[in-house]
Amino acid sequence: MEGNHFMGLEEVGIILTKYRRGNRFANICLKKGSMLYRILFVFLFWISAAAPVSAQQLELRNFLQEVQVKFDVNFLFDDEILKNKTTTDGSLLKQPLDKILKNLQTQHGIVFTAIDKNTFVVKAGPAGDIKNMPQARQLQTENKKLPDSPSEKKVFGHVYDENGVPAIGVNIFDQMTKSGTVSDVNGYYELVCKPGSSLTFSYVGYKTEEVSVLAKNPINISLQPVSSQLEEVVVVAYGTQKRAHLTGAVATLNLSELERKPVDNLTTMLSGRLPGVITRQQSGVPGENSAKFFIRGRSTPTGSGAPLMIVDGVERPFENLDPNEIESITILKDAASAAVYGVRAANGVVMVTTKRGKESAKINLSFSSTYSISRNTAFPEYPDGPNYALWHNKARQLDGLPVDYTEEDINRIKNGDPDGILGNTEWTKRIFESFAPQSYQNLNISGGNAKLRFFNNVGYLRQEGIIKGVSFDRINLRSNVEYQINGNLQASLNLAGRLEERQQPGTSPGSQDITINNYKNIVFYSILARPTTLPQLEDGTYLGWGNPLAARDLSGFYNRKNRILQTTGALKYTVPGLKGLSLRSTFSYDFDNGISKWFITPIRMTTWDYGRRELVYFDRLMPKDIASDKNELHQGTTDFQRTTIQLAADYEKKHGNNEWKGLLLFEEQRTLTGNFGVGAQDLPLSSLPELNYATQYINNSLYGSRGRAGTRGLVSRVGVIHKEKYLLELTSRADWSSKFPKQKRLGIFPAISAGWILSDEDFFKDFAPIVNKLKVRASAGILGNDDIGNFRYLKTFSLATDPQVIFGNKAYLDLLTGAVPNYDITWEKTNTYNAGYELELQNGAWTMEMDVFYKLTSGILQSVAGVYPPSAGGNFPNIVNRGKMDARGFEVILSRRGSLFSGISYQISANLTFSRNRYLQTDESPNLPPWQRRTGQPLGSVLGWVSDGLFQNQEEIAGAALTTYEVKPGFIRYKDLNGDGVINYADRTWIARSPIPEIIGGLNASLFYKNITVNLFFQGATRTDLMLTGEYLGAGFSDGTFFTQPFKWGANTPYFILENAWQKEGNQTEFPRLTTITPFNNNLSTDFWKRDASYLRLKTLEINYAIPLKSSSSSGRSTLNVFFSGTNLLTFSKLKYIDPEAPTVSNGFYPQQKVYNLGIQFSM
Amino acid sequence: MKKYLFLLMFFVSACNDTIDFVPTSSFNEIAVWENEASVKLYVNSFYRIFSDYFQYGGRPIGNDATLADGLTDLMKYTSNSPGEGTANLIMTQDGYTSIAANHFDVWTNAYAWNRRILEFLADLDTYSARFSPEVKLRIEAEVRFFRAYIFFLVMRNQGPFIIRNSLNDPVLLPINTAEECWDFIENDLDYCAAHLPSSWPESDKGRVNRWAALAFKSRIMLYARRWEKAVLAAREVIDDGGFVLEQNYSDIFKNNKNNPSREHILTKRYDSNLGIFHNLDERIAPSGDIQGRGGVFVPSQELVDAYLMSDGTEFNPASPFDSTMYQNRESRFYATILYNGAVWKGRRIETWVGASAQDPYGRDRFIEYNSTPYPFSTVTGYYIRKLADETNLDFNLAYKKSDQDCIEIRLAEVYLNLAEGLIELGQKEEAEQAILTIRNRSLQKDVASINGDLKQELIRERMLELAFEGHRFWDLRRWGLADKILNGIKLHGAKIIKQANGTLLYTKVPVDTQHRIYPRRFDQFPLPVGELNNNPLITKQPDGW
Repeated sequence: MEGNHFMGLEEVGIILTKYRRGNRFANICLKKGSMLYRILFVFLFWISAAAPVSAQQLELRNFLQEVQVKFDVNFLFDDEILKNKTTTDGSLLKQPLDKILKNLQTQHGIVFTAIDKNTFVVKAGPAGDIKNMPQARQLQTENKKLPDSPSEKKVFGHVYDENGVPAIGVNIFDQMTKSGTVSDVNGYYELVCKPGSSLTFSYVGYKTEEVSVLAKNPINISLQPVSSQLEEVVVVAYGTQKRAHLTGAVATLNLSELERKPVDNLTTMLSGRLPGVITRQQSGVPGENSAKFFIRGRSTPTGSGAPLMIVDGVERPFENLDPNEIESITILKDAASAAVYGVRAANGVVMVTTKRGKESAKINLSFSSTYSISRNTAFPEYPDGPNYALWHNKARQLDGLPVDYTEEDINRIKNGDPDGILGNTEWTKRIFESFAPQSYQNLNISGGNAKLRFFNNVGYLRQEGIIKGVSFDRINLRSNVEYQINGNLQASLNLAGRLEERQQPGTSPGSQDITINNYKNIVFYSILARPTTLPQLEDGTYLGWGNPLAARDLSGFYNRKNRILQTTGALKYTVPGLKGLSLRSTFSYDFDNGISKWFITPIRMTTWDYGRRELVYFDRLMPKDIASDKNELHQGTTDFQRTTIQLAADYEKKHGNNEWKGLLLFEEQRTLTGNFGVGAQDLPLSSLPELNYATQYINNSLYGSRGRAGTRGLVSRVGVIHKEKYLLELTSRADWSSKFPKQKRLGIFPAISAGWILSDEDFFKDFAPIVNKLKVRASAGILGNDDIGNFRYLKTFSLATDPQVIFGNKAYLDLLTGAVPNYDITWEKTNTYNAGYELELQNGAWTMEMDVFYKLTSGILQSVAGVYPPSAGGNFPNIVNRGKMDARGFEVILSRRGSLFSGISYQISANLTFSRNRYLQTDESPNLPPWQRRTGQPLGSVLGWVSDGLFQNQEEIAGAALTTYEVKPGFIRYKDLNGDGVINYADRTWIARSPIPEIIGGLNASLFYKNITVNLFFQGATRTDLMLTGEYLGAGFSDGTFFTQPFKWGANTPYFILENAWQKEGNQTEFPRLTTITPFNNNLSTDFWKRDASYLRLKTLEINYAIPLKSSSSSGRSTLNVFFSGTNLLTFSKLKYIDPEAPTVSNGFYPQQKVYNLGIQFSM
Repeated sequence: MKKYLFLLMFFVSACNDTIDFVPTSSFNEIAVWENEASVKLYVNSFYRIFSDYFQYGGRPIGNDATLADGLTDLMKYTSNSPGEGTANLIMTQDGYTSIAANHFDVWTNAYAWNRRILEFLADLDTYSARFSPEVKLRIEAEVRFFRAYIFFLVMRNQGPFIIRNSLNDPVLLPINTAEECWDFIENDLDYCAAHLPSSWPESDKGRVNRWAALAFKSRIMLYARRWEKAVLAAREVIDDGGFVLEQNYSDIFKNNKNNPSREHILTKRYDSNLGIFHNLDERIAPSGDIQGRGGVFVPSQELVDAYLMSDGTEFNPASPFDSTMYQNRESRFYATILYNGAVWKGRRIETWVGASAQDPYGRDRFIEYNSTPYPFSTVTGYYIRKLADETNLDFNLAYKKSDQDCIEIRLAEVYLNLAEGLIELGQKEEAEQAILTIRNRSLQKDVASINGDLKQELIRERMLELAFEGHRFWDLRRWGLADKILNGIKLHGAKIIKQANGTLLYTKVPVDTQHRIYPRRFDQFPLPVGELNNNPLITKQPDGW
């Protein structure tokens, strides 16, 4: 691409017109076409001008290749000679070799000269000049001159791809001498080798070939693609489809590139790799760091927005699969591809396919072992004891209050305290280990023959936390077996098991979100505790309101185990009488049994009260913040069962120019859930935390319940491909969901899609040298969403879990009515429109795919409580199908593969996803000021007050609008939006964007040099905000956090606040006044706390070195890969002091991790 | 053909109950109305209103666990921060209570409960055939009591409301007149009085009964200024209710589960052993009882000064400010206030300044208000004895476990309600006798008459007799005295300093850093924002909001 400046539209247009005069399509596009087409064509041309144009593919050459194969001969030729020549007669191949050669000689005026028994140099007839064939010439001359010595053998030949196109930049490597070369622009190579050695030919996207040097020269190699983008078969809903024939928006990831890394959660790895996926990582807690995961962003506020997850055709979560057992991940984005999942598909579908055994001569075995360490990505810097005392004193002085620390105190903090109370304790540093280790082992064996194929996998991941006592263990087991019973009947049995164990101290190590978990976690305590006291008194009593070390080491444990079994049995029957018809039935049963055990031990603590200058004793139960001197044990189980039945008939038939494909499928799914648990207290032995030994059960701690849900669907799909160019597909699903009343249960979800492979049209032939494939496609359809609670259409009552009232001498429970039912409740409907194109240039060196979409969701299930006055008392169905929302966006992915001069080949792929949504209609109270209307706003926007800098002095405060809270110089000034002289709830407006980014992108670059592979993966996101102090779920009110309010609750304060806080008049600082008094005025939800959370991350870097091993048997070869990889290594963000993916409202969170892996993988 | 059999098998297993089944995760209507026992469970849910709005509940005033007496001159919250110190912020910062942040909003909740009550009553009609007519009337009366109670709270806090008497009423309705609203409440209470039993069988003891309805009526009719009705209801309770005034004031508040005081008319019952408890002791205990907690709200010097002498005369405000002021006071003083030197849980309370927390006799010490956000110690030199359970020694660690019953209404109040009604009706002698019945029991010797303005004495009597029972703020408001008595004042306390020679120096100190405010608009608190935004039939907030 070097040396090309980016040409302007006009310039390129002129060149293009000159070059391609007479080409109908180009002309149409340039003269009459829309701007979009112009841009497209300029783009294509720019690409083609940037890269060298390779030789053309000619049919005569293809014929010659067939001859080579049939007669085991080799032809050496220059493409120029064969240019524009076509064979007339395929039947020629049936004749003997000499006849064929003679025939070709007469037909095309080319001469075949045998240089040895099996090798012919192909020359032009009388005018042919052998000098045009540098390789061939060499071989004629040098071959005679330099006979092979015993120690050296010169090897030469030609490398071409599956289409016979010379393959440029193929790595050719001598296994014995470890020397190598690359093929030149015409696909020729030569290399001096050791006799008896073997050569490997490797090329991006192609299978590596290995040939013994003993073979006769020239050694010509035809490389077979691993899978060409368009030829690839991808997994789609209830079947497979050739990528070339796809008409919907589908993205696929073959997991080979991911598979070596020990991934504890797959969701975190997908964004930026698969266009259309938007994620936000929530936490770094091992085993709990699943990312919020959306396909094309959110298009409805209902439910979690998570896509439907399908593993091997059945609804199942995928994030905890072993990466090594996954063959591919497919994302279904539009209605055309997802509508067959009906009522569950509005948020898109993720389909994971696990590996199958392949028919092969030998059994494949692969073993890998990885060791990793992880560290915090970013965690704010905190002052140590003496510095804390200095800053705290400074703040007290600004407050006009007596200081907490005297000179003597500071001296004691620095040099030791005879009373054993004050000291210098850097809590945040003490609770984090210097690194967290992680290890991962995997073994898989696969193979098979025509009768039986299998893939067996076992993987073990152990991950320890950056905080001691936190760990995650996972064992993945899988056995996928396929058995061909007879010619017509095939059975398969997939069994997968998983054991997960999550360990934590009794106190949570760090919550994701204070609205979900107890925010009083170890990280919280480590910030809360002042660094100016010792951890413990001499008698061992822990110091502090919540002592993080005690919380970590002595608070007991929280242990969760999950045992997951996933089974699928399937039968496929090819109906012998009716060609093309097959029947299959699938029965699957999944089971997830969770056992949790939470043992809490109380810790006696004392606090040094700085104001009163005395030790205050009190007893606290740190994990739960309820006070009891008794330890507690809570044990519970959950179970989850899902049964899925599918019965399907597939039909495939070629009829003339039309290729028909049909599917009729019945599916039924039942989900049963249950739980049971109890709590006990006062266990005499902490070392035996078993219910048996408890002396007392905790009142009302016994619970147990069960629930169920079900869906039923009927799927039909008809597809036709006309002349391999025109594609049309119609799908529909009828769905019944138990979540809706009988008469509202049935939903029909149709979709239509069409595609056109332009590149196969005659008028496109002139573009063929540049554009190999161009396909345009479009789709429209309806998707559904039933992600709401069960039985909203029934009047239900809940029985209290705790006794409420005493009559006589007994306590009684009560029955509380639920919300008013909605007898008309039904699913949400999302109309989805998608258009896209796929492009392949220069034999796949460039590929590009782009999709634009529009989603209109109507009948959104939303609460209408906000539009009724409170006096209505909720006497209306609370959840109704009322809201409307749309989402629009695009995804583009661009990949390039090729080679650089010095034998380095590369593959780069970049993608970008953009998705923006907004409320079109949502019930709002009519008197809401226009600046607070949600209609028109994107989902997840934050409501709050608009800040107007900091007050600098009392005069400014006196002149400003009245606020509820006390205001001092250095406090935030708010804008009085309605100008009524008062700052109140009416002055709130939309101040910040959603924490879910609108734009997310990735750049994936791989470099291959000899045996070394380097892979870089950058991930970036933008158009998203982080609120340092967050909003309490739509209320618009908030509270200070440790990341906004200095010395909140006396806690330690990060340097970024201290050093940037307002101290005196004239300071225009990032943070308000340095104070120790709660500044309520500053703790509102305001744009003052908004930070741009855009980031760019080096998400992964991987370096792999492949060492071919001498094979022990003749049946195959072994490879040892040694690799290093890293995750989250570099982060570029405007947020210097905190991770851009940190939770939005937080008083301390488990930090995101950067991971360094070192591993080996052995395969044979 | 055998090959197809397995396909058939699957079809058979695809039964119809996959998507059509009875819920197992919640109850449905039919199960709830099955029998009287299950209906009782349903009725029990309305007792949650007591758990919320009675004194020890989650929201005695609006949405904040603040006792209403903390808004008056009787009691001082020791914290200056929201939460534990909300009462101080409400009464010192103009604007702290606003339309958006209304600590006194009952409206929203009242209508949510009203909807449930209407649903209940509608279903009761539907399933009425399952009960005898008397039982049906009784069930209806029990539930209507709660409607009367919660709409009384709305009326008290926010003024006239919308009467919504049927599920089929239109969504938008205008506010009714005050008279209509009082009629509505009165009508419910009359219904309760007519159909609730005078006493329940032992196993149902604790449910609202006829006397509770009448006792409430005597209180509520004072707010409605329907004096005659208040008097009639009070008389009925006093004459026929069978309740007995305790001889000893402090016995009323003893935590005696087996033999509760016969003065109680309606209580919210607690029992730790049954898993129903509150955290009052943990909040009001002297800090020497519970390090790091306790002392959340404490009595004021103003209340101490208000108590009569044991002979029925007034305390002389000019008497020396030292420990002698704690001598010869009426018995309600000793039952209500813990002062320096009082004996509590076997020790002497020592509230002097500077006593160290490590000192076993100094842990109840005085801490200056505003010197620390959460003192958990007295800022006035006093602690609350009334309401506190002296026998509860175990709340130190189990801080929520207090289980003395919350007395919502007792016979003494009914006497005072009677007295007030009679005063307003001009029947002074009878009123005087009613007041004296209450006053005399805490004096050393009965007095025969009351000197001074009878209304003023009634005001004092309610202040002392019902101290910390949550009446004074609302009483002062309805008497139109709140802005006179609560505005512009500072509460006081006794700061005691131990001299070098060991003697104690008492100083009367203000314990408020700012003057208290009571804007006139507090006489009627605002309606929720959502009501005005979504109900065009209501166009404005009460005056001043």
